[in-house]
Amino acid sequence: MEILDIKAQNNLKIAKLAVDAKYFDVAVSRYYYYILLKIMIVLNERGINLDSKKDSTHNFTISEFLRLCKEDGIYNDDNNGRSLVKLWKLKNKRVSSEYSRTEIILSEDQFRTKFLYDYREVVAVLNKLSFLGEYNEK
Amino acid sequence: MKNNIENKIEEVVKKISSKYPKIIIGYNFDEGCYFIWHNNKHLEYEDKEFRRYTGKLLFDYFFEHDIFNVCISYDLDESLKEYKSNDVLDYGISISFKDNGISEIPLEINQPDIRESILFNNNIQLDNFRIPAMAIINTKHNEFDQTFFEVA
Repeated sequence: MEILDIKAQNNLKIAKLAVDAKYFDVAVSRYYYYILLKIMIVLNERGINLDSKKDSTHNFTISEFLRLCKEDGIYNDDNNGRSLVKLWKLKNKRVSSEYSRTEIILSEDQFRTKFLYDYREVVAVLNKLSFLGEYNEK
Repeated sequence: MKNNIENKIEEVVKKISSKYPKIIIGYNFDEGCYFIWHNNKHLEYEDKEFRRYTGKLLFDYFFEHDIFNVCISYDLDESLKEYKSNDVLDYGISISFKDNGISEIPLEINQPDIRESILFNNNIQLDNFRIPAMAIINTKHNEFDQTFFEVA
């Protein structure tokens, strides 16, 4: 297993623990990083070098991944593209979960509405494409 | 001046509004992506026709032209900024606003995500009043209330 994959799995474990502990903002952040790291692995395997993009890793990674999905014909199913671009929303929720001074997620209801429904949508497509490997949320 | 992507987004928003006239919809740009947000949770997560229709719009207007930073999603926080007095929230819940100095959210607002969004996003303004000081919600039961919200 490559190092990025170990890091991805560690983030997933912490995300689940954070949900159990009701630290929902922490969970948002860790779930997001789990997906981001998995996508970075896919891009590396496809020969896309992320090392020189340290200042804008997130935007570059998401943009390149979505571009790659088009090349692979993944958007031929309208729902796939509609779901995958929600990667941007997950990224923004990660930012507000870490830094926002006006917003905090304190309940499971909020967690579901603000993050989890969209996260599951993205994961469903990534699973369909086998990008996440053996992924089980719970 | 609006750029090409924003012009396309406005066309898409117009099409969705025309097909789904009750929806409250808009867009903003944040951290590298355009977010087309709306207020209808049911359409977003349950309605296959809505998802197919909006997914095709995304493909035709953006993905087809290698534009990948446009996203459509349900966003209660953004939607709340657009609500005006007597607007109808998701699934027949109407909201009215009064500048009456109420300092707590009335118990009538019992939908958890709406209530908490109001409580924890106190920078949102409606009709020039701060949300935590103004809201009264009247519920109107319909089939969706039972599915998505616990209505007293």
